[in-house]
Amino acid sequence: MAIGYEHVTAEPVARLIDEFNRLPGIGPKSASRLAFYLLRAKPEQAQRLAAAIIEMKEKTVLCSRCFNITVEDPCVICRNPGRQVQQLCVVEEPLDVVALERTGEYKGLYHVLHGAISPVEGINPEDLKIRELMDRLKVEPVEEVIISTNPNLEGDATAAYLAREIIPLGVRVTRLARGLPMGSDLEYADEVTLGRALQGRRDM
Amino acid sequence: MRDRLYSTPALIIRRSDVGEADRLLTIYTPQLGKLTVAARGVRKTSSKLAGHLELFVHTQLQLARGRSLDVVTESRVSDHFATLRSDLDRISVAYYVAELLDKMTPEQSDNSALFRLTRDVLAAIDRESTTARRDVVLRFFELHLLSLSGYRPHFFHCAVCERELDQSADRFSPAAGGVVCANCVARVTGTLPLSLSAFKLLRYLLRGGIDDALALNVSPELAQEAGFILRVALKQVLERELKSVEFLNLLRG
Ligand SMILES: [Zn+2]
Ligand SMILES: [Zn+2]
Repeated sequence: MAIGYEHVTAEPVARLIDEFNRLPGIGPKSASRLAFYLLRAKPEQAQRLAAAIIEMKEKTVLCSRCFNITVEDPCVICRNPGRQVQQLCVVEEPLDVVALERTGEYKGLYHVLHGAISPVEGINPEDLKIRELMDRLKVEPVEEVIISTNPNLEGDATAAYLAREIIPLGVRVTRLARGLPMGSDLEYADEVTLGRALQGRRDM
Repeated sequence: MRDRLYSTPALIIRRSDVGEADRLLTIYTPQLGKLTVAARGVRKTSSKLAGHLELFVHTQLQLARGRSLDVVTESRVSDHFATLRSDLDRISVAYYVAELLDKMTPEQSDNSALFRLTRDVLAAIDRESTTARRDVVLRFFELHLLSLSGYRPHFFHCAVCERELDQSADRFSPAAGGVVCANCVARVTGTLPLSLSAFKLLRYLLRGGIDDALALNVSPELAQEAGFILRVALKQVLERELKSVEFLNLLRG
C-alpha cells in the first residue's frame, strides 16, 4: 500500500494544507507548499496572516445599498455626494467594481449581484441581489442601468433577465459594448478596453 | 504509443472555473462520448481560445493528452448558435438540454447518435422562432434521449403484458416505463392519465425524425401534457429533479 502524505505529515500541518486546498485556484501541491512555507516562517508572520484573516472577516460587511464589500455601511461610493445617482452600474462581483473604478470613466453608483444566473449550477434570479436591485429602482432616481455582467453566456442571460424586469419600469437599460472578448472575465480586462466598452454601451 | 494530439467534434455542455484563469469543460463527442477536459487561461481577456469555447457551441477541438485531463489546444467553431444565446427563453431551454444530456450519460461511453441528436436539437432551438415549436423540439429531445440511453418508453406495446396498444390506452406508468393497456391498469399503481392526442403525439415523435416533429402543429396545451409525462419518465430514470427546470419554469411563468 502506498503511503500518502497524510500518514507522515503531522496532523496540524495536514489540517492547514486541507484548508488551503479549499481556496479557489489552489491545488494540493500549492497548498502543501504554502503550509510548509508558513511552518518554517517566523511565528510573527504566521500570526500577522491569521490576524489579517480574522480582522477581514470581523470588520467587513456588505453595503446595505449596493452590496459591495465595505468596512463602513454605506460604503465610500454610496456615501460620496459627488457620484451621479442617475446612473447605476450592475456587476457580478466586488472585483468588477475595482476594475471599473480603475478606468476613471464612471461616476455613477454600483449594484453588486454576487454572481450570475447559471441554471445548471442551481443559481437562479432569487439567489442573486436582484430583488434588492428592483427595490432600489423603486426609490432611487435612477435613469439608466448599465449592465456590466461578464461577456459570457451566464452574463448575457443575467443581462437579458434584468432587461426584461427593468425596462417595464421606464428605466433605460444599457449593456457594455462588445469590445470585451467573449468568454472572458471582466476582472481581467485592462482599463483602456473596459473604459472603451463603457463609453460604447448600447441600449438593450 | 498513442498520438499526443487528437481532434474531435464536440458540443460544450458544461463549464466551471478552476484555478486562476482556467476552466473545466464537459464536452460531448461522437466517438468518445462525454469527457471532462481542461482549458487553460481562457478567463483572461488575452485568451484566443475563450470565445471559441463558450457553452453550447458545436466545435472541432484539438486536444493534447494529459496525465489526468486532456487539454484543449485549438477550437474551430462549426456552429455558434448566435440567436440561441441572445434570447432568454432559448438560453433556458439550451441549459435544460445540456443538463439532461449530462445527467443521463456516463463519462466516456460513445454514442454518436446522441451527439447528432443533441447537435440537431440545439440547431433547431436556435432556428425555431416560437416557444410552441421549440417545445415540440424539447419533447422530441426528451423522448429520443430516453430511447438512446436504453430507456425507450413503451408507447406501442403495453409496458406490462407487451400486447399491442390500441387507442383505448389512456394510462402511463412511470414505474413500468410506458403506457399500460386496459387489462393491466389495475395491476400497476401510480399511473398517470394520458389523453389520446398526447398518446398519438408521443408515438409520432418516437417513430419520426426531427423534421417530422417540426412538421407538426402542436398546441401549447398538448406540448405541455406530453412534457409532463416525459418529465415524470425522466425523473424515474434520474431519480432526481434537474436544476435547470426551475429557471425554465420561472420564465414560462
Ligand atoms: Zn455601497
Ligand atoms: Zn397489458
